[in-house]
Amino acid sequence: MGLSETDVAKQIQHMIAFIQQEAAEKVEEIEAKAEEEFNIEKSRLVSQQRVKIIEYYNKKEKQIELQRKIQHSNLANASRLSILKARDDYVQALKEEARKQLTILTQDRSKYQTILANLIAQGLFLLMEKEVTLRCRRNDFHLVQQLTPDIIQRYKQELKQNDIKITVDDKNYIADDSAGGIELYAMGGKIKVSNTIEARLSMIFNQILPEIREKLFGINQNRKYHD
Amino acid sequence: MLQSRGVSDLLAAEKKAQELIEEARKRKNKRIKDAQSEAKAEIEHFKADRERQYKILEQQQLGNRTQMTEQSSKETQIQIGALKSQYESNKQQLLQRIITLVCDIKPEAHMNARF
Repeated sequence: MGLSETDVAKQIQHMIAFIQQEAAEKVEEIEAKAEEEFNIEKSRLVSQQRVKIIEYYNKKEKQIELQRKIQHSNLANASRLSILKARDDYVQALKEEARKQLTILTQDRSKYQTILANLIAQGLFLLMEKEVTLRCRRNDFHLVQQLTPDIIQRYKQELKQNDIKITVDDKNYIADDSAGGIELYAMGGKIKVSNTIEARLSMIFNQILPEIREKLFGINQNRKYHD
Repeated sequence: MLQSRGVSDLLAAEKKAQELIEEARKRKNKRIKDAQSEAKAEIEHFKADRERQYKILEQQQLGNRTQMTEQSSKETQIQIGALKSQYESNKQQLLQRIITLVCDIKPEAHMNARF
């Protein structure tokens, strides 16, 4: 007869238990796997996005820093420029002061006479022309006419020659508010020597600018070459 | 008779086992899908934190901006003020020098023209 009923039933129970156990193990396996893949996928996604976000904000923060540096540089620049402008303003103010003082000085007749005579003589020596026209301020017209003969003497003596003819322009004058001096024309006005007080002031002022700057603003620490 | 009952029990157990496994698989797939939404939530949180950090920095910089400008212009004004006092104290001496130079005229004939 083989197996008894009970034996068969037991066998079947065993087999059922076996099936159930296998299933439970499989389920456990699946669940473990599920957790594992969940974690992997989640951390993959998170770190992927994290990197992007970190990069994005780092860039933005760098931008802020850049803006700060730009602003700092702009401010330093603007500051330097306004200081330089102020310095230049003072230098120009000095020149204007000098011009005013010179204008006052030319009202001292004896001093002005010497100056004017010298200016004319200097101009003549420069031109070395036979025919020269002098142009002065309206107020100085007579003075210039007075001084001219002596100057011509001097000129002829120095150069031991040369007849020279000087005309004082009575149609055109230097501006009345100018500081004085003389303009000399030769060759029908084609050659001009500007020996006005203003012209002389400009020339001398420019020549001693380094000295002026040093006295007004101190020695420049950044300067390397001095000759 | 017993055999068929045994077999049908086995078949039932097998079927139940398959169902359990199938359910586990379904749960697994759902779990993996959950990863996406959970990751998203975590990232949003991180992003919000970072944004907050950034905003603080931005505000700071904005404040610095105005402060920097004020400071710079204050310092500039001081330096310009110093210029003025230097100008005033050295003015007279320089004016003297300039006027002396302007009035000191030496008319001379050119070297080659003299005898």
